Amino acid sequence: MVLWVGCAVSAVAGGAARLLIDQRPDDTVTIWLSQANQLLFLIAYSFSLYLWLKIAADHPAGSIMRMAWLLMAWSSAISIVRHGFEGTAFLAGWTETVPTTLLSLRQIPIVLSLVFLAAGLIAMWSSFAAIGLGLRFRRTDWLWFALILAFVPVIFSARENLLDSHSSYAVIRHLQAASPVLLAVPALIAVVLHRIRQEMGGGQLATSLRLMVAFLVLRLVALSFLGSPFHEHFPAIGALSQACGWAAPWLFPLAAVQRWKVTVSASALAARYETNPAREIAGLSQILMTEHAAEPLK
Amino acid sequence: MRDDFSNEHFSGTEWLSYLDGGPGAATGNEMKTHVENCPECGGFAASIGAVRAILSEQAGQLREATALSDEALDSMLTSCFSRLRSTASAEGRTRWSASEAIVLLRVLVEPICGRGTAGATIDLALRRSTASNEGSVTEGNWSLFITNFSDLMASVCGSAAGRLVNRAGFCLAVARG
Repeated sequence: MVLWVGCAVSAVAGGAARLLIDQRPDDTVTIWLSQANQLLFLIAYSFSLYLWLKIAADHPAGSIMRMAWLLMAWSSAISIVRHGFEGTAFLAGWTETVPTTLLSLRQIPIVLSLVFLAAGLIAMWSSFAAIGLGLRFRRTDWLWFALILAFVPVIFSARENLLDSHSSYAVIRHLQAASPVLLAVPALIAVVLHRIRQEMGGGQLATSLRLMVAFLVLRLVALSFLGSPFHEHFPAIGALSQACGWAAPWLFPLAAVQRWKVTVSASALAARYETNPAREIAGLSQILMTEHAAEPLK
Repeated sequence: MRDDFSNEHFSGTEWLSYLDGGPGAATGNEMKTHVENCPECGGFAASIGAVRAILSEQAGQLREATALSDEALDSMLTSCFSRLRSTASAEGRTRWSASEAIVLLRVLVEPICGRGTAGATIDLALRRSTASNEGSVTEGNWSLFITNFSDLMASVCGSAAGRLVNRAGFCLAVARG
């Protein structure tokens, strides 16, 4: 519930900040509100870090899925560093004094965070693939792959508008130029996760994957619109894009919460089986009978 | 047995035995040598082989066309169990067949990991547990199946889910298959 509230507040703040930037760019409220995302994202990624670490601890040592959650935790931790750095930069006035030097170093945590995220998602896919999920793709999946890849040149063409494209450091400029690809890779894996989610056929784990997919796709779409000159001509679309972009990081801890629910449910059930196994099995068979007794043979 | 399934050299029974690998090593070898050297019998055997291949292919297509989905098969299976138990109290039940116990475990984990994940992990655990036992889980390899299923669930859904499968699986008393 807290996370959903955070998501809503972030979306409203993002949309409002965008509209205010268009109308009153030099207003103090506009300046402070446009930087509110640093604090909001820092909170969101702190929740994520805490939850991913707890989830990783629930997996056997050395398992691929444990590695996946740990990589997600690393991605969250680096995102916290990044937003902490950007928030400090705003408060210290570096956005005005050293925007192309010290401030542009934020690209390092940005890139690292995306790399860890992509690696975590690939590890997760690998774990599902080991049991036969996420190996067969349909025509719609290929269309999604194509659509996401189509965003790469769109973002790349607008790279001049990206955060640190004018950095004094060549390395930072290269890292910034790589951001379309680094964003596209997790989004491509999101398509795979979407397929896995469908193959799962429901359950708590599938809900977690759904939120993960939404997180990955939403931020790519938001960045595509915000990076293009399109939003300058249509303020409402710009506001909507920024609202989505600011809401997206909250979907990450929300996905973690849903995954954590799997552990909580399973632990509670396991404890019940330890206490009174006969009653639980009788209850289970009753569920089976109730669900299917009246169902005709297909 | 139809007598018109014959030619000048062998009766229908002999031909059927030959095609099935009988009737005995000595007679079979004699007939094989004859078929290899006799153009008429060789042609006859080849035509029968071609017909068998066509029939096999057609049967495969028919099976494919009438194949039931996993969901339909599951539904049929669980409905059968329900009907069989409609007169008996579940609480009085102490032993389950391996197939029944697997369905119960599946019902247990589906709300957590989903129907597809449950099916995939069970299938894989079955394959890993029955490689030397002609594909069936019995009382003898139930422990192995549960260990495999538990490990797979732990790898995908976490140790808590693996522990749940382990505890529930070993609580289910499986009858000798």
